[in-house]
Amino acid sequence: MDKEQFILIVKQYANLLYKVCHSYCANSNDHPDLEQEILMQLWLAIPRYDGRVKMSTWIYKIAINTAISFYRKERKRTDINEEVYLTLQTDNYNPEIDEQIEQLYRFIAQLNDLDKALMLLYLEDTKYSDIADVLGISESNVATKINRIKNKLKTQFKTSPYGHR
Amino acid sequence: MDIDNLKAAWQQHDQMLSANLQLNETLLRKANLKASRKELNKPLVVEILDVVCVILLIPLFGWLTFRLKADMVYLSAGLLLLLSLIVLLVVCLKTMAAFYKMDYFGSSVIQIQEQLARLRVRVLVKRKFELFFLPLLVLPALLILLKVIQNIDVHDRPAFILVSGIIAMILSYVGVILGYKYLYEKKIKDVAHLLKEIRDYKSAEG
Repeated sequence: MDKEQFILIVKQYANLLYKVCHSYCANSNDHPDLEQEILMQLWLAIPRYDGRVKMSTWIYKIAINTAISFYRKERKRTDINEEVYLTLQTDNYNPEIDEQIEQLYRFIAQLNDLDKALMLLYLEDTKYSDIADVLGISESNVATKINRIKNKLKTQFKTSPYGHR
Repeated sequence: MDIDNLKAAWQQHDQMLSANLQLNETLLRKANLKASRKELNKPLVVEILDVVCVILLIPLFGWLTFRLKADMVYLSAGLLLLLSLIVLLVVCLKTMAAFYKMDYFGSSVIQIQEQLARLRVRVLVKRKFELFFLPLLVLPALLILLKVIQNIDVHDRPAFILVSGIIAMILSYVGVILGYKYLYEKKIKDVAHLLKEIRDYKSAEG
């Protein structure tokens, strides 16, 4: 694959990368590093894509795996990466002031690494069978875990202004 | 708040991202993505270097031991050293094989995390094992090298060499114990905890 083709794919799925970085990265200073790490892994992984699942679901898998491993491996930060791959035009849209989305990201951040993955895929309307395939658990286990997360979410959002709408 | 409303909000968030998120294409064009393979293989390179070193040391000390075979002390030291090197070589080769078996992109998230955790345990245990073996390698090697390079014979100053050897052994093992404690035990415990988390997650009751 050449770089231009790769850039086209990254452009197409930039939202997904943004969402994974924001869900897994509590520290926004780490976003550029995680973005870079995901892009590197994606570059290596893309030639292996076989079309069995949707491209977006497959990219989610690579991005999630990288994000989980990123925080588990010991990294020595030498400098703060000033250049970023993904930039949001906050004049037009700032998710940090979209309280509902901000609260949802906060909720996702509280979940364990695997539940975060489950929640992201669920919010993307991914089929349970695909979630099961990506995560490596049974479909019934996916359903059970989603129900648990939904209950947690209900409790959490009950106390928020959105719960009374 | 119903989860379906959240899904709708998430979709709207996605649309807003599509309209406002920009990819720094120049930076991506400049990035050396080919380096990613090197990055991914860094721990494997360390293992390969280990194997190469051990493979070079075995014939070297085999030859030196053969040269000093007439003396029981040097013969025993040489054989102990060679045995330790062979054991180390087997362990290094097994660790290297584990790296090659890793499937970074074909497995599910849980499988990959599990494989990575197991590989990490293997590497940490191997390093712990190397630390334990270090005095067993260094002391006989020193004995042989002193004889061959400096012509310092163990029989000329047996008391001095014995006392130095014992002190060096004690100091080395104090170092090994501290090394275990600060470098590896906590890390191994952390990975074991992660493996337990993954197992619990896989079970429906988890």
